[in-house]
Amino acid sequence: MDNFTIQFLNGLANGMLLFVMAAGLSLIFGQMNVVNLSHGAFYLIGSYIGYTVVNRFGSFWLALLIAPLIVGILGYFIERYLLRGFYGGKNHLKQVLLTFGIAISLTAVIEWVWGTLNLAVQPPAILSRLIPILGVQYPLYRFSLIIFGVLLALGMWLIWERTRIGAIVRAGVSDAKMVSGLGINIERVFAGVFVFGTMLATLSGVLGAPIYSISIDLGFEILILAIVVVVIGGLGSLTGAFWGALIIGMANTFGKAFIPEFSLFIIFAVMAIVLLVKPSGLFGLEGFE
Amino acid sequence: MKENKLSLKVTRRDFLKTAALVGGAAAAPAFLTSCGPGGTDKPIKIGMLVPNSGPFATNGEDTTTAIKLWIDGHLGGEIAGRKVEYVEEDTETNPEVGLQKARKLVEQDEVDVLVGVISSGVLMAIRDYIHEAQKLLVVTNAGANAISRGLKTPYIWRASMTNWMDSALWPYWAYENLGTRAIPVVLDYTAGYEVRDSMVYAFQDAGGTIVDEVLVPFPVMGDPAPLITDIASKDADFFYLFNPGGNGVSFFQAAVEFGLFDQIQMFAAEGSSSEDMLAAYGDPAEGIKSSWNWSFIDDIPENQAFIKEHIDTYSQPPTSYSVQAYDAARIISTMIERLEGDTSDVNAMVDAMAGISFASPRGPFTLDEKTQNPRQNWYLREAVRHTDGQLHQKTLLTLGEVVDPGDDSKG
Repeated sequence: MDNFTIQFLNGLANGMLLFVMAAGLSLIFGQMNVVNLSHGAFYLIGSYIGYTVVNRFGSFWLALLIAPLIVGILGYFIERYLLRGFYGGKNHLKQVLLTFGIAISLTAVIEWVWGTLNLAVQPPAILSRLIPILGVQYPLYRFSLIIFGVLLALGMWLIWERTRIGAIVRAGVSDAKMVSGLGINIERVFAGVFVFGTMLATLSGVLGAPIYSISIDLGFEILILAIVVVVIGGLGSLTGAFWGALIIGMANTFGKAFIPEFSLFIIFAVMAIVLLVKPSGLFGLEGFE
Repeated sequence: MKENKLSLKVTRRDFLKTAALVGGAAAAPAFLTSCGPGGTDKPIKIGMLVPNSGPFATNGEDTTTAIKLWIDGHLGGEIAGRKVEYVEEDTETNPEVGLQKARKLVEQDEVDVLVGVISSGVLMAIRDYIHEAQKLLVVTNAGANAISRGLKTPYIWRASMTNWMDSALWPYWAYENLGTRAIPVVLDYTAGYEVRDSMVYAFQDAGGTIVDEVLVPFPVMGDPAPLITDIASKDADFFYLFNPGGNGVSFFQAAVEFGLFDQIQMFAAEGSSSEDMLAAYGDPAEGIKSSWNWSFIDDIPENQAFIKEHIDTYSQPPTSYSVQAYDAARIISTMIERLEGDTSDVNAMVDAMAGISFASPRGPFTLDEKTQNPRQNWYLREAVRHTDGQLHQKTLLTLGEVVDPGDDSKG
C-alpha cells in the first residue's frame, strides 16, 4: 500500500513536470498552428543554463528566473526573423523542417558550449529532504513540482478565460484576419505566444534538471514525450495538455513500476488507444485532427 | 623497456633508412612522395573509429588523445621507423554510420590498422565487414561477449574486456561482504544482459540468491523514480547497478533523493561508477563500491606515471576509456615493431598479436590468444575524495586475474 502511494505521488510529479514541458508546445500549436519541433531543444538549453547558474551563483531560484528570460529573448528573435515567414496551414512541412533545423543547431551550440559530459543539478537545499505525506516519506522537491504544476495550470486557465489578453489570443485562433481588422496587432500576439511558449519550455528544463539530469541527447526524448502528451490531450488545448500529462505521467510511472521492460511501449499504447477512441485527442478541437 | 630493445636492434637497414630520411629532407619533398606503395617508407595509417559527436563524444575524445599520448608522446610519432598518420572518423555511436565509416577507412583511406569502437552495437555491426575485408581492428572498449566467442574472427582483438569479465569475480566478494540476497538492476540492452548473466552465474555459484531483477528502460523516458520505489520494496541485501550515461545520472540522483541507500546497499558496475559518472553524481557518490580493470588511485607505478603524463599533456585526468586506448596503441606499436614495420600482410599482423604482454597502467597485461582478449587483473574499488579535491576510484584489493572463458558456459 505504501508502495502504491509513493508510485501514485510519482505519477503526479511526473505528470505535472510533463505538463510544464508540454504546455508551451500545445499553446504554440493551438494559437499559431505551428508544430514547434525545437521545443525539446529549448527545454535542454534551460537545463544547461540552470546548471551553470546553480554552479556559478549557487541559487536554483535565480536559475528559474534567468534561464526563461535569456531563452525568451532568443525565442523572440527566432519568431521575428525565422518563423514569421512560414505561418499558415499550408506551410506545415516548412515549419517542421525549420524548427527541426533550429533544434539541431541549438543542440550543436550546447555541445560546443557545455561539452557532452552528463551533468546533474541538485534541487534547492531547502527542498532536498523527505517529508511525511499520505503516510509515506516523499521527496519535497517532487512534491513541490506537483503543487507548482497545478498552480501553473490554474493560472494559465484564468488568464486564458478571464483576461483581455486571453480573449484576444482566443479570438486570434478563431479568425486572425478579423482580429487584425479590429485594430489588434496579431503579429505581436503571435510573437508573445511564441516567446511565452519557449519560456515555459525553458522553465521546465530548469525544473526537470534535478529529475532527468542533463545529457546532450535528452532534448529529443523530451520532445517526443511532450508531443505524446499534446496528441493525447488534443492539439491546441491547454486543458487537454493538463489531463494528457497526468495520464502519461501515471502510465509511465506504473509502467516502470510493474513492467519496466514495456514501459516505453505503454506510453505509445495509451496514445494509440486514445486516438482510436477520439481521433482529435481528449479535448481536441474538431478540425485539428 | 621497449625503447631500449629497439635501440639495441639498430640494423644496417635502420641506419640506411635514417640516412635516407636525412638525405631526403635535404633534397626536394618530391623525392619523399615518390616512394612506392606497400613499402615500409610510407607512413603507417591508423584509422580511429570513435564517436566524436553525441552523448559519447567525450569517451571518443578520451580514446583518441590516449592513443596519441602513447604514439606521439612515447614513440615520437613513429613506429619501427615509420611515421604515424591518424585518420579519425565519427561513428556517432550509430551502428549504420559506424559500418559506413569503417568501409571508408578501409577502402578510401586504406588504413593499415583500425582502432577504437566504444559501443558494442557498433562493434557488432562492423564485425562481418571487418572479417570479410580482413583488416585488423583493435577494440578499445566495446565488450560484446560474442566477439570473443561465437562471432570470433582473427581480425578483431580487444585491448578492453568482454562484458562477462566485468562481473566474473566481484560477486564472490559481495557474497561474503554485502549479503546473500541480490538484485541486478541493469540497462535493458545487450551489454546489460551480459553483465547480468555473468553476475548471476558467479553470485549463485558463490551460494547467493538472486531475488529478482530490474531492467531499466533505455532510454528511460521520464522520471526514473518508479524504479527506485520498486527496488526499495524488494527484500534484498544489495542491488547491482549497471546504468551508464545520462540515464544513470538521473537514476542515481533519484536514489539519493528517495533515501534508497539507507534501505539497501549498492554495488556498481564500471558503467555506473566511472570517473565521469562520479563527477556527475557529486558528493553522494563518495563510498560507492565497484569493480573494474583499472582504478584512478592505486599503487601501480605505471598507472600513476600514466595519470601524471596525461594530466601534464592534456590538463585533465584520464578515464578508463583513456587507459584501454593507451594499451590498444601500445598493442599496435608492439605488433608493428615485431614485424619491423612491415604491415603489408594482415595475417602476419594477426600472428604478431598473440602473446603481446607488458606492464600496463592496469597492471600485468597479456593478450590471450584463445579469446583475443586481455588476461588482466580485476580490482575491487571504492570512490574516495582524492588530494585533487575530486572523487576518484581507489583500489581496495585485487580480486584476481580474469580471462574470458571463450564460450557461454559461465553466463
